[in-house]
Amino acid sequence: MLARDLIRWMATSVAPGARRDEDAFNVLALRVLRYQAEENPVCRALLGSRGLDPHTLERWQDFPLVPTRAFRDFPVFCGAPGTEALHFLTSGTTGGPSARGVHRVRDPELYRQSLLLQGARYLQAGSGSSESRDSAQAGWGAHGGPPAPAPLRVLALLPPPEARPDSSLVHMTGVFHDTWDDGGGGFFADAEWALDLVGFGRALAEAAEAGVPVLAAGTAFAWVHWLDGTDGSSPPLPDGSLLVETGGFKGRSREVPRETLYDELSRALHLPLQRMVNEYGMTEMLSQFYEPVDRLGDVGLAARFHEGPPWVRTRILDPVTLEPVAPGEPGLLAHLDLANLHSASHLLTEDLGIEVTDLAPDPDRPRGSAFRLLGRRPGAVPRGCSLAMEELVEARGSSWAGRPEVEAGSESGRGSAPGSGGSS
Amino acid sequence: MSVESSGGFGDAREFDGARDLEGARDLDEARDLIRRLRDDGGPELRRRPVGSLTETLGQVGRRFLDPDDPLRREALERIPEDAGLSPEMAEVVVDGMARDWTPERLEALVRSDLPDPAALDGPVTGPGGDRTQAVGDRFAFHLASGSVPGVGATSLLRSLLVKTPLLLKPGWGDRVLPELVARGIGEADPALAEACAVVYWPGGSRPPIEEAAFEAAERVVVYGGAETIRQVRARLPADCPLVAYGHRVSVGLVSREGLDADFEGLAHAAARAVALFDQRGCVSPHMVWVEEGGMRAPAEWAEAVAAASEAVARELPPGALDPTEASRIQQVRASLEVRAAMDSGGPSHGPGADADPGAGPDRNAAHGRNADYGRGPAPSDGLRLWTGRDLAWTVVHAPDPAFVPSCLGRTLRIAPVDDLARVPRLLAPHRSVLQSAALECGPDGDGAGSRRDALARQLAHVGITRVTTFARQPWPPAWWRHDGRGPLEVLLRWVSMEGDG
Repeated sequence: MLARDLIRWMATSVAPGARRDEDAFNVLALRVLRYQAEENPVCRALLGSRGLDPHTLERWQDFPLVPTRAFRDFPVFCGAPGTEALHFLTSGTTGGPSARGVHRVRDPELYRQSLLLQGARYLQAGSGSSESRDSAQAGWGAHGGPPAPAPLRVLALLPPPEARPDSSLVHMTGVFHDTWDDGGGGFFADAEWALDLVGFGRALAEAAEAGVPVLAAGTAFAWVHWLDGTDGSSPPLPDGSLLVETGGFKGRSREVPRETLYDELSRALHLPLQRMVNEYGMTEMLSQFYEPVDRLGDVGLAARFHEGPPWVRTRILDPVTLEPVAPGEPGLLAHLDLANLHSASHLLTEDLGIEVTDLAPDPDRPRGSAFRLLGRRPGAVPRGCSLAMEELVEARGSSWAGRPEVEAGSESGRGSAPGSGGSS
Repeated sequence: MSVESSGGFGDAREFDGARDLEGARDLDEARDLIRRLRDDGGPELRRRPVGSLTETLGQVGRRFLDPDDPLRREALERIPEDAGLSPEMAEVVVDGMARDWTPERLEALVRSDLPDPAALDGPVTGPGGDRTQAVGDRFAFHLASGSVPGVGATSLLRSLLVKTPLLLKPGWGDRVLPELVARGIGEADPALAEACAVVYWPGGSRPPIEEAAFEAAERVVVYGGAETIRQVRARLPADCPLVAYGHRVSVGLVSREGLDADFEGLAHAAARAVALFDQRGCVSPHMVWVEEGGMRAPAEWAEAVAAASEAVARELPPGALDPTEASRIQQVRASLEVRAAMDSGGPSHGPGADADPGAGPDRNAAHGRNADYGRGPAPSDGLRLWTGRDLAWTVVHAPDPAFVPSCLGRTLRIAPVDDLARVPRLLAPHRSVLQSAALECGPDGDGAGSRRDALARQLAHVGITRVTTFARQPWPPAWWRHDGRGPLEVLLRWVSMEGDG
């Protein structure tokens, strides 16, 4: 019931001319948070610990924030662990293999709607004219049947979903591929994330030959590897092509400043910078943030910012008091993500960000929903000569509150802001 | 970003970091600066007998203990901002560091590593009657990262004691003391000051001076994390020795006898050991194991440590946390709060508990976001959490004795254990990073055959390099075998001079 209402609300919220109604949003958010208070042991524990009654809280902001670290330590799930339809592991960036978090997903359809509704706004919107954007959105019915806008070829420097079912990034790209691809696209990495650069190059050339716009997806490190391996012979990509970079070097390639990476990619792929987008996502969230390159024009990478979908509210909090900071002050990003219906919606991340105050904000957008990532230094070495928790946890897999539930294998998920390769 | 240079960089004076680097932007100029340290400063240094060095340097060090001395006053003025420590903490840190920089302590340091200090001045009779001499390097490069004030200055003094001219790049939060020590040396003995230079530049910026220093260094000393050490090592020629002081963890162990003997005193000493340097020191304890079976339960002691942490926070307020540090603590605290609530099976706030988790400024911080502090009996073996306002400190009583490193920011985990003899095994997997263990075993002392002696030996086997007490834990003495090695010995070469025999 709640899921159906939520999906309907999400679809409506991105329809052309949709008006933002904070009261209606709050009502829906309270339904979601009260459901989680009943069904999610982590949310229940936090409310109980603070003596809060979810039925007397009247604003979504008043519900306790669930730390993203909790996904490592507890089943952050409305239901018995094991009853989920999908589960995704966070990457190892903030801990060793046994310290990886798990996001259990009960409702893949809700996740799919979140991915496609938001993806269409930022990845497809510019792939045609503004009319095609509107018509694309107009075509999304209450049940979210994805429209078929201009043909698109999804080429991913990622393993195929069947090879890495535990990666939310791969899953997302798989949904885009299944929904939007014209039949010629594919995945160009194996389960161990070894890239098939030759195959990818061939696929780019074929798309260019066929004149089909490309949606090219990969992590920052994959793009660096591709640049290192390319001979520069890629033909210009068809108009409407777009590159999405999902951040995170994770020590797997040379680290390159974002400006350099995008400049090199722009030259190698013959794509303007405005056709390269950073996606900021985390395994713990079923919604994503993108840079609105269509509206930003050529403001320069440093001035870009990220936006979430209408079913997400982002607040920037003082790291010590967890109170909202003054506009323009940096702080920790806290998100309310209604797409996290069956896990936890109100999340405290370890990412630092700053509200966008210098560019004319969208008047329809609630405060804080556009922010610049200041990156994240999960493994940042503390200021002294004492060992960082992460340095040791990484090595040994110990955890503060946790009883690790999953002994996972190698790389799969994502858990970081677009680190040094992304927006920082 | 004020830096001080002396010796090879001209008169002791402050300059803007950028301008200073501009002065040596050119590699040739940087090489020339280092040549002057080596070729002008080095002979000056070698001309002085070690006894005169301990005296001169010790007199400079002693100035930091004199409340009326301008060097100390400047240090206390500038360190809080530079290191991000409160003024109260800065004073305690300067006191503790400078205590080891007096002529007596420096001499004791020399004697600890060189039973016959004259070996630094020339050949002395060594083992088997042959003669031997301890020789420093023509030039060494010391790089520190981090912000524990005193680390850089101590490194500088050690190098000069073995008559090795050096360039010190201090950590960004430890720029004041090395600069002031170098200035003091310049005031006391300008020619001696020609042998040391302190220049700060941000790590990773690789100015020409860094390249020139790596080229010329006959030994490199580095303080930093694994990544920093790896990067430095990768830049050294195969024949250049590297002395690396990596990040370390320290811990505490309290036996039931220790608990019974001085319950409150130990709680206060432990809280203070955690608070010193805002827990950024390699000597700062991350976790304490408390043995069960004493008159009072380990959880009660944890509560006493929490109360003491609040008292210490008033006496020595914490410095500002950076957002990453604060974020870590928030994540850990909230996760622990979840665990505590799950373990207790219900609301852990008792009836009448304030629903507002953010304690107001006037409230006893120990009653802030706190599972059950002062709210009547709680399961003594359960997870309990005590927190100071504004992330000032965090104490956790966790039933699981596994070693878990702290998120720092004055966060201490306390675990009960049925027998302290189990603890060395818990530490063993972390051998390479272990350092100081405060071992509190009550009035029986640590003589041969005592419990403390037995436990200390076990700890030595798993990698602990210093067994101490909570009271002494923050302040290893000057002659401390730093991370297991003589601090001067690692800076020396021994020359054997054999005759016909």
